[in-house]
Amino acid sequence: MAFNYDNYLRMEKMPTLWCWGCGDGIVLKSFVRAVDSLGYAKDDICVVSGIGCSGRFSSYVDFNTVHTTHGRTVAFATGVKLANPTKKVVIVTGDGDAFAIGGNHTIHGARRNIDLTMIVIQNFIYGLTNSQTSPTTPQGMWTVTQKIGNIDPTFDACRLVEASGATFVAREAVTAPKKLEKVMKAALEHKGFAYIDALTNCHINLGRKNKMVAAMDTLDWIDSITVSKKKWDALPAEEQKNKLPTGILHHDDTKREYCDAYQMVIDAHQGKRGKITQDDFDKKI
Amino acid sequence: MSTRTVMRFTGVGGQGVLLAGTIFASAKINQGGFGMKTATYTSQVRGGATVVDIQLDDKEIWYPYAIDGQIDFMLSVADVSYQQFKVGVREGGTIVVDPNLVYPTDEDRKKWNIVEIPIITIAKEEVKLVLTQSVVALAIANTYTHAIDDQLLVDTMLAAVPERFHAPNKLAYELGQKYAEAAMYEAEHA
Amino acid sequence: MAAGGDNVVIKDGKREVVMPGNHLAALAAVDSGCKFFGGYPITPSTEVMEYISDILPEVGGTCIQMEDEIAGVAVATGASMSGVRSMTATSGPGISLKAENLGLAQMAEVPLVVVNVMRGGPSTGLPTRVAQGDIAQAKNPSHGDYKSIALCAGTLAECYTETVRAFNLADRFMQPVFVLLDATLGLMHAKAVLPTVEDVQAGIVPRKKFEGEPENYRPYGVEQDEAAVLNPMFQGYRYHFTGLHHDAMGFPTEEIETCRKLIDRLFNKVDAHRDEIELNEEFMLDDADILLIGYGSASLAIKEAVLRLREEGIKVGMFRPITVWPSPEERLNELGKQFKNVLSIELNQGQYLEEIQRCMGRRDIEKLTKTNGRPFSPADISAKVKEVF
Repeated sequence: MAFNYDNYLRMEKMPTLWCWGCGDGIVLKSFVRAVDSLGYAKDDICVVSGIGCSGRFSSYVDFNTVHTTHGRTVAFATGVKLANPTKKVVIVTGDGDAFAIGGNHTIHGARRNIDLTMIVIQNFIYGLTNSQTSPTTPQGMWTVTQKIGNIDPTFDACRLVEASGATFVAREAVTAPKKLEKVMKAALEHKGFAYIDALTNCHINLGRKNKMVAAMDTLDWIDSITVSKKKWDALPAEEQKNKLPTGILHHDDTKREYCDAYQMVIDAHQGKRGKITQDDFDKKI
Repeated sequence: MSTRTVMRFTGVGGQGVLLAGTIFASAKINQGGFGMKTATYTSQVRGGATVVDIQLDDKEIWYPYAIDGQIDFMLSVADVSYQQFKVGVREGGTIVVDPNLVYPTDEDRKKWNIVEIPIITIAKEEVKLVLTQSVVALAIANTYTHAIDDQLLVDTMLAAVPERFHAPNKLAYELGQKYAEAAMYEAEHA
Repeated sequence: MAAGGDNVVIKDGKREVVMPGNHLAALAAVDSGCKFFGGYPITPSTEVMEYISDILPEVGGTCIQMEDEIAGVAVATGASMSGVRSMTATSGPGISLKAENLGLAQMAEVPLVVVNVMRGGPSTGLPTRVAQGDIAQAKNPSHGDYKSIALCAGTLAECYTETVRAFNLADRFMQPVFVLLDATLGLMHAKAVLPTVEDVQAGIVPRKKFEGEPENYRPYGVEQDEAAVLNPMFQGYRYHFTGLHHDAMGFPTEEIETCRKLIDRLFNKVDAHRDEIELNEEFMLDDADILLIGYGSASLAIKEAVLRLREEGIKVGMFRPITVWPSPEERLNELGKQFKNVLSIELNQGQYLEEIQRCMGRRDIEKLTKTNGRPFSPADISAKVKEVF
């Protein structure tokens, strides 16, 4: 029987505001399927989004939902989570939110290893506002703020959050919805800061002026720049730099999660344990 | 206003001597009166001039700062703050300085009763615990002002100190008292 | 250490404590049932976080030092959205950074207590020195139209009682409420007589909650003079928070009437209930010939000056708004008719003077201002009174 999405969607908000052929809907569906497969109650989930096309995500799903200011999703979600450590708090945000205006919060959320699932709908451009340069826009591409060609280097979001302390890092593209669903499920089950780079197409505001005018053209381009981690690892360094590895890139279950760490603080203040010392931590510096 | 004692402690940020102010205010309140401690930090909190004003009264105190010209007693352990804040002391008032760190002018000595007691050295070399400088200062200030019953002040001070530091802090108080009394005796018999 | 510090004495059903204003604000939060604090260190407010980081976990609450001021208000707002009483504390530069998210809390009607321990500005200004330069900022920290509530403590005890009141007003009107302290009040250390914890707890007015069937729930579908009814998360009432204009369920909309009514309501919910918010002190006003108006720590010097001037036979009295926003319009108007001689005293260039002029409908109000980081002395005030009247 076909999967019934209606139970998880706010059907009165359909159709979405996303453009025809936009991959955001695939991210939405993969997420819903992942939640369903884990059997979570809708009441037990909070979805926090920011500004941009991805910002609308929270209004379409029938959970406790928060649409915040530009870039601040991780900080708002941290508040919801710390006040309700037993609940699932999920961030759905964009590359502008997560790595430009809100980069600091992404870094520090990952550093704390707080139990949040952060899904970045990564479309390489500012889509909603019509083609301004994002921190993930490839150099040499046209943007409306760099019409002669973008000169700004990109950074690798997955490596950034891993270096910052995230304990689950994965990347998949909307060209592989089943894989996307699978890493979302793993991320939701992971206790700690789980990051997913969900690559998607913005053929309207990235593709149109960069010779990828149809949705399929942009999706083909995404296919051409991604390769499974296993294959990527075997590539020579010269080829690695122009490919993004996909799959689960980093998974570490040994690090203490932040809500658990804060419980140590509460316990210490309530006299249920001694003071917290360096002996409580593996990493000393 | 006649019942009010106004004191000023000055030093540089990070010097423990300023803690004496809190103990004075608390002791006065424990006694049933009104105590006010107001600290002013300059922009460099660490190493910058710092001043703590203490007002003790049996009546309620509204305005939290000592009023320049009405300060009876000042204690200073840093020249930078001594020079900046001495003007608040009334003529004939007492200023206790650490002579190794503060350098009053000849004019100052005419205007005020300047008393030299090596506060930091006492804490460092006789108590062998430099942190107790605030208690040495506390004892000196109280010996000069008679603001609070000594026992009440010591009890208030000890309540704020971990048990294992009670002995050195008691010693610091006694030494402060001894040095202050000696200085007073010397002044009278000079 | 027990919440309340070392120096707590219970006398005649009240608590006598010795602590600085910043600690009193933290203590009031915990006594009011606050369970979450998010902040970032900034002089001269840091002691609020330093103290609450000890006393909040004692009662099972959470205090988190965030990566910046913006995150400090965002994390506290997030916790409040989920249903817990929440606070942040900062000083002027921090409010400037938090402004956008305070706007979100106004728009989405999220209660939050925001303590601002004022220091000299603009910009980095005089970090360790006193000012009252954020009065205008407290009225409109964020862009757009909304109605601020700002309470300004004038005594150590009020650092506590106004924080308690702020929590109750925040939940009653479902919006951020400012508690304005300043470097003097925040750092001064003296006796404060406080109500007992039991009295504070008995006075808690919790957020309204919808108890009916979820399908009948309309969080923002309330009367035009009422605040949104936002149930806690995770309890079966799923709705949407947004900073966009929104409909009765919280979902974004651009529908003309809905947008008009939303912003009208953000004003009406406060304006229609000003009597629940207004609080003033009148000191020796009854037989006075001269009216001094001041607020916050400046009022400590004003009171001393009033006493001294009266000793000299000059009959002065003081009016002090404790709720500075919304301003006490009616009372100021009456006083403007009653007193010919009015002197406004504030540690800024006259930010509240403009409001006094508006409420009194007059421009012949004398002013005493100071913006060099130093407090007024009683002598400053006495001299000014003798000079102008």
